[in-house]
Amino acid sequence: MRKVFQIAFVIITVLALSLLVFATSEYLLPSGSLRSLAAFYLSAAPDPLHPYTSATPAVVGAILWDYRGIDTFYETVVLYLALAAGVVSISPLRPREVPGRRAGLSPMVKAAIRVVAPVVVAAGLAMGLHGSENPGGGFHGGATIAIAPLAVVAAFSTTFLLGRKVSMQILLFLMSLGLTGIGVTALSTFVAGLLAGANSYVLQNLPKPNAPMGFPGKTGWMGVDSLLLFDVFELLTVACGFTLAFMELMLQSDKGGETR
Amino acid sequence: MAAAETLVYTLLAFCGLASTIAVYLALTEKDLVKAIIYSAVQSGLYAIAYFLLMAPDIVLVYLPVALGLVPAVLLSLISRTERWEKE
Repeated sequence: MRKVFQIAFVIITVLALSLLVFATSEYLLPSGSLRSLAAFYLSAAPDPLHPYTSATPAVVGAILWDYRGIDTFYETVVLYLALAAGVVSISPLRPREVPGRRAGLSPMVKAAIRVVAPVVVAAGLAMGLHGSENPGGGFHGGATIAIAPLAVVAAFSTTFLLGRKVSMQILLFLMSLGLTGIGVTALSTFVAGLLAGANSYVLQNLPKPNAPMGFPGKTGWMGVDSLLLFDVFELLTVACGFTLAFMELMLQSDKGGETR
Repeated sequence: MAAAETLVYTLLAFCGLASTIAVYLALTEKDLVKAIIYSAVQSGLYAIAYFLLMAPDIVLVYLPVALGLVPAVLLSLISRTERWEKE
């Protein structure tokens, strides 16, 4: 009974706050300058004729990796360092002997995971690889793909993937490869500009009015822009990073929580 | 058109209210596994709200992280400690 009253109190509080926000919404709207920034992104990103275009309808992806790419780069670095430092601090990362396999969950769950896991990976890949044109992107796809090994580990056993040569070293290598790829992509146009003696920028995507170096973009001969490359490398970093962290957590759990 | 907008706003209001109740239940629940489920329910309702607010990018990242990775990590942590929160 006490809980019902508490929940009723929560509901009344929420409704009262909603009413307050509604009544004062005229004064809480963002300022005009913020809206003009949004209007610029929304008009420039998808318009191929705009001088500062990203030539993609995925405006969010364009903001993340083109207009505000440096922010996303540092976010990825933070994620990489947090995962790598966390895993290395609790694990020696040496090649392990694969311990005896646990029974895992029931055969029905295992059969379901066998069907669902490849679908999840495919969905994650589609989300990541089409991120430069549709909603989605490297982080979305990578996080979705990481669900598959997580489900496999939960259904079969912690050491199931280790027994199939998915080692911590390989995951850490792929994660590092992803971050290196992001760095190389970010610097590529800048280095190309230095070599050609033309003006160019770090993290530059398509050619700009004062910086002619850039990726060919969707209309170019390879159909590649920096958004696609960033999404692929981000997907690699995130998928391998989360898988590595979860496998390490589960292995530590199986050892009874003992750490080095 | 107006009816569709009203439906969207009504659903948004329901998601906001129900997610707040889910948060309250997650905070007060002594069974930590149930608390994680309440938290996942809150995340699911948020995902629906983001969808209704036409933010598909947020939905696509919110679903795997808030409904998959975070509950899995929390369950893994609970398996190393205790299921019931003591007074």
